[in-house]
Amino acid sequence: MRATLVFQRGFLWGTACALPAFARAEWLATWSAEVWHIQNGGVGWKESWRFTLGSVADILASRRDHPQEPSYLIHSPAGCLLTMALVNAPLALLGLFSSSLYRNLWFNPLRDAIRGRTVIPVFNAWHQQLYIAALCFLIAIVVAAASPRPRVFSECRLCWNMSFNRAVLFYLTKLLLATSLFEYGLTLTALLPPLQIYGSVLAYVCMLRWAIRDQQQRCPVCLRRLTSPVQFGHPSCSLLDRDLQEYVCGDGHGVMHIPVAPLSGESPQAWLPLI
Amino acid sequence: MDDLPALSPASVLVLTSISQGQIYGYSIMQGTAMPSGTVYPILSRLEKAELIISRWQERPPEEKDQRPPRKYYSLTVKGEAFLATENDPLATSVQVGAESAS
Repeated sequence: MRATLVFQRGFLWGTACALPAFARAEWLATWSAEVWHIQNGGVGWKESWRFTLGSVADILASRRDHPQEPSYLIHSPAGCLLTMALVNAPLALLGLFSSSLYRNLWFNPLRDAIRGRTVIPVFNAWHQQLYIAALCFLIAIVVAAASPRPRVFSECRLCWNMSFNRAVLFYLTKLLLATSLFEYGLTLTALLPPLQIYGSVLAYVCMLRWAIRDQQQRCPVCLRRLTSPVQFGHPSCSLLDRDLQEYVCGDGHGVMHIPVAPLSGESPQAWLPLI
Repeated sequence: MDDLPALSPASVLVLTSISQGQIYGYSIMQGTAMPSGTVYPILSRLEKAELIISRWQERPPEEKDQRPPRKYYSLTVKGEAFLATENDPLATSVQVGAESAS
């Protein structure tokens, strides 16, 4: 029973990381206390785990009700690109080091052993990497072409188009950096084919999703992350009382409305300029 | 009565369960036969709508065991008013009549 409680508390600690920091301590205290009382109330382990797993749904609901403020590291566009480049740099070094190591191993008498142990030999893996990287770049370009362009209630079309071009450039740079991260991930996991295929591709998809969400939550004028998210509407009233989040630009450029569940046939977000 | 929010049937069930004396999360789950992943988000929303209020279990200082305090929920005046409206057949029939007229 004690071991189950320890695992359940560990699970709660892990899931609590997905909560906004201000709500984490109270949420953890509530759930940990309830789990303790259930465990010590003679309830079976299945029932107690069923209760504990329900915390994931609670976390998702809390995240929806309390949209998070962005990290200061990615607040400005320059900061965001710099952070991504700084993450890229050590991975690039590691990738270069590991690729030279793999080449040495390939020309080593140990190569037969490696060939026997790995499903994808190193040189074939390089070809496969190039193929996957090209495919990913293609996906990135397609995604970039479908970059979220908000509806805008503004008359200044020239200024708007200039800002939009900057936003597209920033978006493409972000996608390129994400693709290069994926490439280094592939190189680093060359000797572990399952991790290479599933892990790296999953990480890449997550990075693309993050890039799209990040772009949605940026001011189209200054490209800084929008702040002070507020939840509007109700999830079950999607027709008359739209379920959306409202963000405001810290520099006062405007207000962005992003629907939580966008309807088809309509622009996914709306920008209301204030200056 | 205009400022009372519109609640889903599950939320009304949770509210009714609290009014019947089930005051902590697991007992509300047992009373409503709903899983924890449904009950706790509803409790958060009801608290945000000020229909219920939560407080931590008070423990006498002489208790030396490691028992962590539970979170208890109770109805607010607004929550009681909501339930009274919800359980009032006349109010319900007026509401149904108004909806069918519109």
